[in-house]
Amino acid sequence: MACSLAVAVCVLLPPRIVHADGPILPAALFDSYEHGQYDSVVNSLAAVQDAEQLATRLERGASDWVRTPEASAIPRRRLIVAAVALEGARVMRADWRVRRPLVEWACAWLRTMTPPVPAERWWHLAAISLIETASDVRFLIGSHREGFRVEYGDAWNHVAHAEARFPNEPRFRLAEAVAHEQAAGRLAYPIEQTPHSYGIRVIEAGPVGSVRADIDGDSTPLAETLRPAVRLLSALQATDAVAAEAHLRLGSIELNLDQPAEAVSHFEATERSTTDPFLLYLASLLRAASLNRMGRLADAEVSYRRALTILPYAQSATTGLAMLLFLDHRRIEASALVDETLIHPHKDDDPFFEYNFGDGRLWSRYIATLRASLQ
Amino acid sequence: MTSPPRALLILTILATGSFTGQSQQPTFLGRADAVLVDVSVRMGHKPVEGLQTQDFDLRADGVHQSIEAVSAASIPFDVSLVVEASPLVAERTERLKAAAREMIAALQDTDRIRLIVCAKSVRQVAPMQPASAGVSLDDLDTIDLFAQNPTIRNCLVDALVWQVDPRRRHFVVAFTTTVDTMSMVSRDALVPVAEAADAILYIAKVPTALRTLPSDHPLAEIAELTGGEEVTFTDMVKTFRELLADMRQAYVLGFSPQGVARQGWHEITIRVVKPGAEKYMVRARKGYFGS
Repeated sequence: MACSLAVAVCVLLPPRIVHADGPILPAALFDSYEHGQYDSVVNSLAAVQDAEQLATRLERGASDWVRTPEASAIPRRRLIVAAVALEGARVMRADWRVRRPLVEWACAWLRTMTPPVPAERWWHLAAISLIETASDVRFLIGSHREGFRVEYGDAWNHVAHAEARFPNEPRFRLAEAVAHEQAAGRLAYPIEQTPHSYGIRVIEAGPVGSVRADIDGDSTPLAETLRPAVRLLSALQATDAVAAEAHLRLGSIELNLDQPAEAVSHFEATERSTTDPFLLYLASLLRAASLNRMGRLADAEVSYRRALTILPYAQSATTGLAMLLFLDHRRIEASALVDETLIHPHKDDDPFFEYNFGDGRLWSRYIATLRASLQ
Repeated sequence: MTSPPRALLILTILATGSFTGQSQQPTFLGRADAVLVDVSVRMGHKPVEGLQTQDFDLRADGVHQSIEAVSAASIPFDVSLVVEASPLVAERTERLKAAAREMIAALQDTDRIRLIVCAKSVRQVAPMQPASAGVSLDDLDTIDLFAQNPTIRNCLVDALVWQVDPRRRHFVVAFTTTVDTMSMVSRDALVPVAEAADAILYIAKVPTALRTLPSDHPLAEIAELTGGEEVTFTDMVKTFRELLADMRQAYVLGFSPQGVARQGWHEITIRVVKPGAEKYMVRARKGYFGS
């Protein structure tokens, strides 16, 4: 088995990163990354089939590679090692459970370095972005319920690790809130049983305080499951850097708990505190859904149309507005709206789909900043 | 949820051509305000034959209408074929395409079909076009199914709100696992759309090993609200052929609206009023849009 894997790796990787015997040469990967050859490194990592083997090899090669230069370069080199592992965890075409140990190992590797270099903050932001994309709640916060951290151990509490390194970074606290939201929203779709990471939200439904099986097979009212997220987000409303997102998420939670009036006030606060089109679109979209539920159809229509002004042809706003028009007997308008969107679908992902994955949308920004900081 | 009376929902007349007034159709069709409603009536699996004009009670917005013409003429079909693009269906793509091809082959030259792919964004990869034009399913091969998430409820809304030519009949056939974790449209929100849609929805269910709760994919009920049903995707071709055969024999009632505004959406209710009709299942469109 080991031989066949080695042969496969040998065939798939560029020659300079693979030893003549077959296995990866970690030092070559690290060197390439250090010299800014990111595409080459990422392509090589994407071809690796065995994440566990890769982690083992990186671990074995890392210490020697880090020790090589002068002492002042060691922190930067340690971060390069962790960055390569993180890039591998993202691009390998394998189940997340197989890729996850790479992040786990790299995080532990970084935490042995005291104190952290400033650029390490970007590594943690990128790592959280990746884990949020996988909706791996347990890895982010151990568990959303009391008593589970012991079972999963401290290794699976990634947000806490990041916060310990950078206590003043509000996005880490925001990530903790997102994890609680993800735990409450994923309900019957444990990540272990899905080919991809799914999230569930119930936006247009009526009261959703009903009891449903949650991620750990437990049954908890949604309001109770969301309580930790509400507590964290409420505290973040006063922090300018994340206030818009905190309000947006609080509004979404209120809407899911069938409190549309309270939701509207949060969405309006988001609109006042950001210029980010992603957040503005979501605020308008969810505000429209809230107003719709309140029976304020004319206001809801205005808000849906505003969302479509921000992101033309975005699916969720199109569908929401089309439903409103259709049920208001404005069928020709509804049909024309949908027809146009079916022909010209929005080329990027609808922010509504991205909402569930927290900072997942910011991976490119984080990894680019990390790479730049390593030059 | 409030279900409308099933007798009004599932209207189905299956008649054979013994209708009175059949000869009036050409004159009637030429009138600008003419409204045609295809209706089928069944008792169990058997069509009810020999119904006469006076056997029907037709109301628009609750106002009784005089039926001026009837016929057994075939109404052409518009079919919106919706295919879920997600990792959950990826392994069955070829079988889905084969089923879709058989369905397309069952259509006649006067029928039309469009293809909608339901992924993160809903895309119409083939516009409504004559079935004889040979709509291509090859676009399904260009989609990275493993990069998608199912948004079937959003997609069904987009398909159901389509403005139907009143002289045609609209079917929405969705190949889907019915698992939906990303749509903004909830199951409850889909109910009034299905109730008001001028389309019959069939769910061709693709099996999945994904563990879900029954309450997470209740599209069977949504289909029933439109007069359709949920069947396994392997049974869909057979069901579709039977449906076409039934509907091609449907009675067509014609009337000129009286006592209701000319413009806007008007709900239609149709009952069979002859003795024993309480056993009939009736299917017809939910209303018409006056212009």
